Amino acid sequence: MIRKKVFLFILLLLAVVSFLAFAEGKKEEKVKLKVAIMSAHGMSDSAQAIAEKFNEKYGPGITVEVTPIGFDILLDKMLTDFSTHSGTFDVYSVGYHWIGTVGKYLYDLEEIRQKYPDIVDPEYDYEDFPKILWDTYATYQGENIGLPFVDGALTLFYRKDLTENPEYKAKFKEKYGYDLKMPGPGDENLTYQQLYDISEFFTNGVKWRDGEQFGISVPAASGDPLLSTYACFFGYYRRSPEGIKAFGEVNPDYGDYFTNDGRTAFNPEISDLGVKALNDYLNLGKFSPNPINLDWITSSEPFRSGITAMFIGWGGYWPSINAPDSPVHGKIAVSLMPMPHLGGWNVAINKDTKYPREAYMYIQMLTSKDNCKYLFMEFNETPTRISTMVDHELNADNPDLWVMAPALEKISVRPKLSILPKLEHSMGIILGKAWTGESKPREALLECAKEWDSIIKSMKE
Amino acid sequence: MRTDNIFDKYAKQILIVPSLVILIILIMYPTVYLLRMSFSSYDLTSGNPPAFNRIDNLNILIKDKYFWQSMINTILISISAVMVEFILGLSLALIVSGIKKSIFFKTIFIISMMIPPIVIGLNFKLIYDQFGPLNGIFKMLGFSEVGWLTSPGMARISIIMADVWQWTPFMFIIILAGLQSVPDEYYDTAKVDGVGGIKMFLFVTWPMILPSITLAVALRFIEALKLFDIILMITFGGPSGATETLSLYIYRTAFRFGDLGYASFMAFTMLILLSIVITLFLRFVGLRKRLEW
Repeated sequence: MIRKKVFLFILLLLAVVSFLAFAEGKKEEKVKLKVAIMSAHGMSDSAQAIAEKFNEKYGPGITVEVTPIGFDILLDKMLTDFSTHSGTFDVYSVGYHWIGTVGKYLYDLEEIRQKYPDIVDPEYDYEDFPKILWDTYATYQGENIGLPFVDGALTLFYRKDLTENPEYKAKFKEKYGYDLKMPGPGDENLTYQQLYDISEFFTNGVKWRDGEQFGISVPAASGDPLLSTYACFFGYYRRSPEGIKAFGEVNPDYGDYFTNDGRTAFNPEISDLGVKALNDYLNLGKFSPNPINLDWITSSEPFRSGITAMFIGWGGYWPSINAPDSPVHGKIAVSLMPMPHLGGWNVAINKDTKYPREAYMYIQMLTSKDNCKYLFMEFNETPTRISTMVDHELNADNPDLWVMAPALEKISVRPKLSILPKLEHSMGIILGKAWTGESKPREALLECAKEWDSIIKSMKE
Repeated sequence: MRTDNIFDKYAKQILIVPSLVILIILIMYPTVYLLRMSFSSYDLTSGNPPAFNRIDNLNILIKDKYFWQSMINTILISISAVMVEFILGLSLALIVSGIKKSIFFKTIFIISMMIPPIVIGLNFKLIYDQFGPLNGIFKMLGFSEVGWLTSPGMARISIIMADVWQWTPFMFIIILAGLQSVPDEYYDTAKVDGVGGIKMFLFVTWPMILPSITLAVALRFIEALKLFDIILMITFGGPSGATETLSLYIYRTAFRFGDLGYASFMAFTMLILLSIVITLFLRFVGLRKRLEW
């Protein structure tokens, strides 16, 4: 009897559970988008702020959860997620230089727009993105694989209290025969010779602080800092008439480091321009805290703490360097590098996402015209839209904004190739030897060029 | 009845099954998978699935100068670090074993082992900075500053110093345990025979603590060959690849270059090399031990 009762009870329980599960299944499925955003430069804060707006508008049916992920592990995370098709995140912030590596795993946004025309914002204004940003951040092998999110150009930060000091200006003119003046809006960019002179002057031409002082912070740590900073020096020659004659026009997929037929352009056997650029880089390094130790963060620190007079870094560093608690707060300004270099990020959708429609709605909102301006005002997020870059009111209040539009007019770019991490690694080791004195610049460049050519060859095979 | 008999007969085998299954899942499966991947071409950036490529990865490895450079770096760094850790650990253990209430020292010494290597790496990165505390002390004492991470030689030494700081206590603790397990009677007998000082150490203490030393050195050497976290934080393999160890290069190949097939092959090669080195080491120590006895 008892057994029978227990059996009946279990049967009843099963029936109730099955009914509840069925009823739950009948309910409309809630969508929770998972978004991975690089944690530095306030990028994840920006994405979070827009996620809150998004959740307010579309929640609780569709919600967004933002996870900040450090620069150093973001590519690893993406590659693992994409290759295992686990769909851990629906949306990623993708550094444009990684597009060659992960581009195949990103959704063609045009496909989403075609499939769900109802979600396309008619006010979005694609023309508001500078062409170079659309070509580099948003396009891969003819597909639109992301929307430009954060602009990045290597910028020259400097101490305006030093460069505008009348006593120093007079001494500089006396020593170098021309005026000490950092280029502002509408001015010509500095030449590397001028940058060298100013760095030398503030290293040993004038005593401007107690204790050690350096003219400039030059990053040359192995990896992205070395590859990007050398591009500023090499791009200067690469894009000159002499460079165009020697290497041909720059191929956007191969970037400044390659000839237009895909050979390594800094190879001394093709031209001496690579050696010239490396010598400029090494010579400028004499006025810096030891460049080989300086990555992006460690090169900003000596400038922020008032030890160096200038600093080559991403525009996104402005808020932290000019923060109210910074020792150089209110004393700094920005100018254009002789040849800027392009960094920056898009937001892209994982091909394995189950929610392409909702993911597109979010990235569209994140990169809209209004939110681009809002994010710059709230988080100093370096804008990707011309309307924000040239906004008069914003420019009047933000002395770091003016460089963004002119920097994009003539700027060096990295290769968008899947083997970029290999190129970066070998350059770090081989050109690193030029910095440590183990190799002469010409030998190092020759070795690096041969290595790069063989990597390119293996990629093509 | 019959069931009971079967259970009694095969009780050991039956009881071992759960552990065996877990072991197979946790150790055998990944190892077999690694082996399979080692003979495959699997480029994560291509979007293609793994494809069997026979011994292509071996051919790549033979010609890969970065692999051999990282192998040399690994051997240089690990041997140097373990040697210094052994000498310091042994010295500290000998000193502390003579102190009656040594719990304070034991506690202090093992703190570094409890700190995650990533944190240690970050701290040492700051310590070695051009404007960091170490150079500050040097300058205060009237010396010129040292480029801790700027030349290949100094960068290797700096990495070794960080590893030594963290892992010397491990040597110390194990050797100390060995020292404290030597019965006092041995020393008393030796004293009666007129043995003392260095002879006492060489002929009484050393043979008795040799198993502990072997264990400590072998374990440390295995760990040192896998050195990764500290380097990732302090130098990321620089300058000019001087501190790029095998683990770091394998990590880079797998997760930066996306070449999982070749990275697996390198990992498998490292596993074999590690096994050979440790076996040789243990045999060498065992042989020496027999000769001394």
